[in-house]
Amino acid sequence: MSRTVVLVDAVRTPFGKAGSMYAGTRADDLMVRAIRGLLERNPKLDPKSIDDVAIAAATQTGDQGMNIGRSVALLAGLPNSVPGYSIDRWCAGALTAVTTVSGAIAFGAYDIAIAGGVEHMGNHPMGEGMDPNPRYLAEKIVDQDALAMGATAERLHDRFPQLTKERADRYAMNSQLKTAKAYADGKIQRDLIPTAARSAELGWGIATVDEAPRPTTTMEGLAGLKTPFRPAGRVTPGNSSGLNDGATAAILADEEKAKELGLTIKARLVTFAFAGVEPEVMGYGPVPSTIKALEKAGLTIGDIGAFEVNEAFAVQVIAFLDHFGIADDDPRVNPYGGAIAVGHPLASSGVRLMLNLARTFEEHPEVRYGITTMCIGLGMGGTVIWENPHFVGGSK
Amino acid sequence: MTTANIQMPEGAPEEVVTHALVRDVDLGAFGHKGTLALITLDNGLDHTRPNTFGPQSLMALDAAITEALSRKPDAIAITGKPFIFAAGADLSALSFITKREQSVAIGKLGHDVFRRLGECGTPTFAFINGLALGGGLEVGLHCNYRTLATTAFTGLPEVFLGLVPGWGGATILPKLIGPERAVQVIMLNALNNNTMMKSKDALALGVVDAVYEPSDFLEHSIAFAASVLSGAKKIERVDYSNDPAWESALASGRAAALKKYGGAEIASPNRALELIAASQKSTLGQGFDAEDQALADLTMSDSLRASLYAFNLIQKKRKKVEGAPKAALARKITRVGVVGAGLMASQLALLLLRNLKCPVVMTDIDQERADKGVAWVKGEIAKLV
Repeated sequence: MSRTVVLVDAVRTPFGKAGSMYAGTRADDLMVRAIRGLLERNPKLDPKSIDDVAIAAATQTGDQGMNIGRSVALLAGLPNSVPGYSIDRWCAGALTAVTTVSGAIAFGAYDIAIAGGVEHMGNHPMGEGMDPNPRYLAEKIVDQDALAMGATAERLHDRFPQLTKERADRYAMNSQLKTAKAYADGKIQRDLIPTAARSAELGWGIATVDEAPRPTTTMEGLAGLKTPFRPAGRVTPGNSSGLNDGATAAILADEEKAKELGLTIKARLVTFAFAGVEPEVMGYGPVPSTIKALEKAGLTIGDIGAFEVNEAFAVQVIAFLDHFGIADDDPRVNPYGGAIAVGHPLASSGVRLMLNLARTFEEHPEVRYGITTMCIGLGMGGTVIWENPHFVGGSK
Repeated sequence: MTTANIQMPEGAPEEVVTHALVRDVDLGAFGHKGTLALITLDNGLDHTRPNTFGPQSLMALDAAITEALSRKPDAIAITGKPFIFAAGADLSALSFITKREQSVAIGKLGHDVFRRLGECGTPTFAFINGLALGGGLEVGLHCNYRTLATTAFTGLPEVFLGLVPGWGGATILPKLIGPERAVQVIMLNALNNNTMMKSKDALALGVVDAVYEPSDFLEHSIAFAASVLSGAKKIERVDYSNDPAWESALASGRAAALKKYGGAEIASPNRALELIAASQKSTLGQGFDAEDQALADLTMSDSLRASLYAFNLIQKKRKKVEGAPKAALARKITRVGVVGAGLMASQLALLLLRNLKCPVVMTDIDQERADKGVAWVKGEIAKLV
């Protein structure tokens, strides 16, 4: 790679429960707020110098349509000269927005770009307007389960019997507890952009924290939850991420350009990879994508000192950890908790992983490499490997 | 808590009630430990029917202020619905008032409710997110601090209508921004065909303390409030009671009124000038009482009734002509002919061309005249690029 891509900064709106605190707020307004909050934090960046705005949404209609990348650039007050486009890779939308603009930066076409994602699952329920080709099932291209994410998580439990419900529940509880601790320590709030949200019934309010976390979660409580995807199954609302509304945004730049402008450098992109798996076990996707990315980077899993794994389902995270021989409660993994606690507004989550990883890098200069990874519907995984710019030497 | 039992006059249309909703905002994320009680004014309709204040709306705001105070917040703020803060008093009932006491009561109720925002002892903020006219702006003037959206228009059009800013405006504004600028807003702007202030004007005049872009106006306004509360931001107020400009300012207001009305003595500008003049020495309370009397006198006058009728005609009926066929029934105009190519015909042709965006044909008694008309229109178009 002739040019090095860096993460300058990343932010997000607080995440709401679908159709709750953002019920009266448009998706594009959430996205605009994230972008404006991001630019406000980076006054050295002249908006005119942004080469492109790549914004992801899994459902690109209504307030997530109209080429949301360009639309939010205009609505955010960016100069007319700044272009924008839309990205979709379902849950990995924002992650793909980041890798796509990074590719353009590394190639030399761009110097600076904004990447982000938004999902208002209250306005756009999962599967809205979906019209699967009848060939999928008629020709057995996928099993029916492949189209329902909860069912794919059950299938992952089937595939790896050692991944018990008890392990998934414990992982989920720890995610809640880690998030509660991170909130208590003021670590999550640092990257949240307070967001005005109107309710016709209640008037204007301001969202300053995530709505979904349940800090009082217990194993007993989790054990009693229903398993909506299969009778006597293992996947519950407690060990899954919820349905959420939120937006994320990041600035990516050529490292030389970032230095020239005096921008912060929070992480340095090493490489990335996407990989496919059987759609019925889509949650396994991060395993092959991480193997592929590590190979490209010439690294091994042992070189990675920090992990941000999206928690679509607890079983999918522990499947990943199990494969690489990492303990379910390894402190390097999701130190601030994850999507099970804060929520997973589909296409926005990729950048949330990155802003968390950037904070871990700041706090752990002894860590050299970290990864952000997530599973993707229809059987994929995406992994981005990052280098810690604060690294000062040490074991990893 | 204010109590009032105001019966609307016979025949008056039912009030579109502006509700006042209260929610807590945690200021922690904005750098100040504490909470702000945020009141939203919302009549439940879209921006084409702005928030207005009739008796029930005033009582709703009163209840909201009581509710907000009961939460013991560090500050109270008041904002509007999307695009609209408040367009002022509900004028629709005004021309049905038959008794002077009714009019005094409405004026007094407005004061009794609004003044709580200035007198409750808790810092108050108006986050003027959109259009704020007359009583709408006056709500904000009673607050201790004001922010304004860059796209919002504000003004005190009362004198234009034959009234006075009688819910505090005529008394508070001169004390806040001084006699010259108050005369500018209350008199000169109103008499100049009801000129509204753009946000930069309102900021420069000192009517508001800060302006923010609309897309995150509320967030920035709350951050402003937090920085005022924490002491990080200081808003200085000037005492204008000994300002040397009182006489000259009042004279300029009087001159403007005489000029506007061809030397006739018209009640509303005169009463407004009296109120502004009195505000130099009077307390707020004295000023508000005088406003009640001025408002009642003017409301009962024939000239106000005529003025409201005219206002209704040009503001509402012009936009929605009674009995006119539906726009959808109109044939699409694809070509327009203008007979004549003299100056007026050319101007009409230009207007038609620019508004209808379709070919316009001009005719005249000979080619030379027609050519001249077309050339003039082309020349005007060319000036635009």
